[in-house]
Amino acid sequence: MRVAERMRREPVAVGPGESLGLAGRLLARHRVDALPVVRRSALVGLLAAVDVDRAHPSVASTLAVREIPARLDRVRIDRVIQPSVTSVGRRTPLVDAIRLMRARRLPALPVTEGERLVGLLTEDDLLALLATFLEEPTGPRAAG
Amino acid sequence: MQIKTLLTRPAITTEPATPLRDARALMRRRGIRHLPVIDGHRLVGMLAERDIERADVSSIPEIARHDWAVAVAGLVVADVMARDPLALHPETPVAEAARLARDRRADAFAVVDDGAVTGVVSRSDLLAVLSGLLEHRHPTGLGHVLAATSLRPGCRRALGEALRIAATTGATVTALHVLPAARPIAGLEAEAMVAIERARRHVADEAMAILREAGRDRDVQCEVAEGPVAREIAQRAEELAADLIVIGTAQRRGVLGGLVATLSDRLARLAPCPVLAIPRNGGRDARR
Repeated sequence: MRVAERMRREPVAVGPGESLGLAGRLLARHRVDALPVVRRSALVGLLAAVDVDRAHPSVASTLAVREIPARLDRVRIDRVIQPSVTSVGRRTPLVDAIRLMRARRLPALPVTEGERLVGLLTEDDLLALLATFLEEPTGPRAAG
Repeated sequence: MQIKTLLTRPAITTEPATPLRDARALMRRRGIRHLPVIDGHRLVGMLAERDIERADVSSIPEIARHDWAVAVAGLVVADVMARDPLALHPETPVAEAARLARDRRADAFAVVDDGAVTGVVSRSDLLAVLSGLLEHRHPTGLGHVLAATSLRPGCRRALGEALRIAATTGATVTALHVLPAARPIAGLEAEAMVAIERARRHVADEAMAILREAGRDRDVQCEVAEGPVAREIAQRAEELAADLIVIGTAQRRGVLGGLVATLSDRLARLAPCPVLAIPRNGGRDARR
């Protein structure tokens, strides 16, 4: 089984100049843990939910709760993402992609063709696949 | 398969009064992102690395300016942990844990047996199970077969063959029917074009029904596409990362048979993977 079979096509993505506030809202609305960051459809980074958590004011902030969104709206995404991008191709075996996600602790794995973002492999979709495999009437082939 | 098989080490836990920075140091040392919080033996919360990051001083200087660092340094686990964490019994099926992790967007579960925390099952642990299953699933390398069918007599042979291959290798099957691209006909009235288009739609629906019927008892994804046939099939194979394309071929006789490029010829040039052409006649007989 290859990455193309399980990736989301046209994943929700953000631009590097957009704000952390927007990213936080997109992460919540689309129930995902990461957003690919693209510049003119070329992948330039991955914004993880934990990156937004890191930027968030501490519990001991003197900012009022209602002030927080405006503050995050003023922070550009490219200030918090790592400059290096890990991605795989459509034909990468799924098992290799999962190994990569676990080893690098990536909450999602962008799929690219050249530099262009063509999909996203998410933990949620992989968990659904796991449940399907384990509940197949004949049992998983790996049982033996 | 139950989640207790994933618990390979004694549970690493923390307590409500533990300073947050100590809990964080423990996580880093052990390479984990979640700590069940226990009071005596009772599970009272779950501490996630993400909760700590959120509670901690901001990584952005102009926001951190408003953070009261001394107060942050004094935080304890109970200030930040999630209360009422989801706890699972060791005999919970792994499939159920995977579904729960997804539906509740949970990163990890505490595993509790008879009131005592026996471990943690994280998303990463669950993905490791999937890795293991995939590793053993397709030893032949055939994970996905694309069956491209036409509506000619005997058209279902390609699909039948693809299903047979899938049954022995565990591959998934996508059945694809491509309607040849419509050529605009000069001088034809708009009304006639609409009628042709309607007829084409009908053929597409019919094709879909035939594919569904043929793959009825199996998990077959059915698709109808439109365009140059060989190119559409090759493109779909690329998108699906198919490992094999199965097509039915008509035998051409006479002079033309040697001159006209057939679908299999064209596909062999365009396809990203091997193409298996099932002859319209003789395929079945030859096997006997």
